[in-house]
Amino acid sequence: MNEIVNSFREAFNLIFSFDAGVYGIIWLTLTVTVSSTAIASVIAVPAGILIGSYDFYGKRLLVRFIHAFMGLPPVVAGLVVYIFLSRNGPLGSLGLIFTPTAMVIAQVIIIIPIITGLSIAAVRLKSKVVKENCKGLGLGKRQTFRLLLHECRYPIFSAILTGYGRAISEVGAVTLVGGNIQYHTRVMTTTIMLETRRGNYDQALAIGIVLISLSFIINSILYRLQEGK
Amino acid sequence: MKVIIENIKKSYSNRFTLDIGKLELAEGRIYGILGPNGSGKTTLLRLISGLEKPDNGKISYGSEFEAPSGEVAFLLQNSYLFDFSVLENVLLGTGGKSTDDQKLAMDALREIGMEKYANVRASTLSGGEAQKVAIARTLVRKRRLVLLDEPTASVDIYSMRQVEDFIKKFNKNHNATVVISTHNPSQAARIADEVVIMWNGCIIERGSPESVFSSPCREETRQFLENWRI
Repeated sequence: MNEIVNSFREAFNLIFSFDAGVYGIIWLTLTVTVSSTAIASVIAVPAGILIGSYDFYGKRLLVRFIHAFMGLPPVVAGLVVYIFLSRNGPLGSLGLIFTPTAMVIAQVIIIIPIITGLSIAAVRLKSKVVKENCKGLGLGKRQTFRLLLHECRYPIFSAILTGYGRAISEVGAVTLVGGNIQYHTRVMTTTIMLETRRGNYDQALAIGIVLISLSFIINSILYRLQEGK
Repeated sequence: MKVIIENIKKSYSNRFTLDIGKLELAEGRIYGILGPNGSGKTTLLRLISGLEKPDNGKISYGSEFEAPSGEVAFLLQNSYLFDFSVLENVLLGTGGKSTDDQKLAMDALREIGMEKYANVRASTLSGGEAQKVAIARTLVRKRRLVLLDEPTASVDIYSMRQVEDFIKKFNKNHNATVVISTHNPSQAARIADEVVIMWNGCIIERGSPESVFSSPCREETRQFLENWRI
């Protein structure tokens, strides 16, 4: 019990100490997770809408693959990115390994199937009625797509939030491709892992509390944006 | 717009087959497609609208073989209002948001007695009110061919007359071909120039409402009509 109370005290101190190191970790966590979620959403939401609303050869197999990849172990995604970006890998010349960019790439790969899969499920129920009503009014494909996106915006927004939740809680891939380098690629989840290994449970729990609070604040902001407030 | 349907067949997993030899729909006339549930009224309208393709046969629209987008409007049986205001929904039918479009939309809403709901969110309307808005959205601007699948199925008797007047006025103003599916012969008698009776996927009889209703040629038509007082 004492440990938990101490952790809350520690978390409070961490936030209000205005320590550059801690704020650096928080900032990097936010930058990496928001960037990966934004990039993944730009790709996955339109892909999910198109796959969910059109019938084509091989659709069932594709959807099954996407669903399988929704449970992709982050460490496997990290390993693949590591192989590609490591010095001897096909993209090694880009010098991206152990950089925040590599962490974003790994997270994008992890959350694209999640957002795509949930977007497919979101549009599947409404796509037929929306498309038929749009065609009945003589609306074009672009406007039909926009209206479908509008009608499915709440479940699609939930899909994006789920993807963001996965990104901010992810540790395996970012450790592999980021290397957990202090002041460079250390994020909150990798800090928790490091502090736990060092036996600094108070510190690890405190960072955990800050992480959950941060996640809650970002979710709240996004919900308010969604509601147009 | 003149529409000619020739030798079309449409099957759904061998469960139901629509089979129509020839049907001509002349420009500027109102047609009432009548028949019991499952007789093929909706399938026929879906084929004419281009939402579905026939397995065989062809449908021509004037000189074209594709339903000309922008000139055809189809009110589906499961018409759907988008999560906007009533006015914004009707504006989707105008194709724009200019002052002229807004005026067209408000005029259409006035015709069916829904102008006071213009700024209300569509999701708060009752089923009948939503249906009236969907009708206004379909008939808000000039179209050469309008297909209405049971447009008054969920509206009350007073609103039904309002909608019928609106359809007749639309037909007169734009010289549009209007095809209405209904299982209500009284309604067909009130607004249609010609009625087409369907039974088990086939057209069994057609003619003016007076002639078909007063002296039907087919036993099936007689059966269908006997429960209705024209």
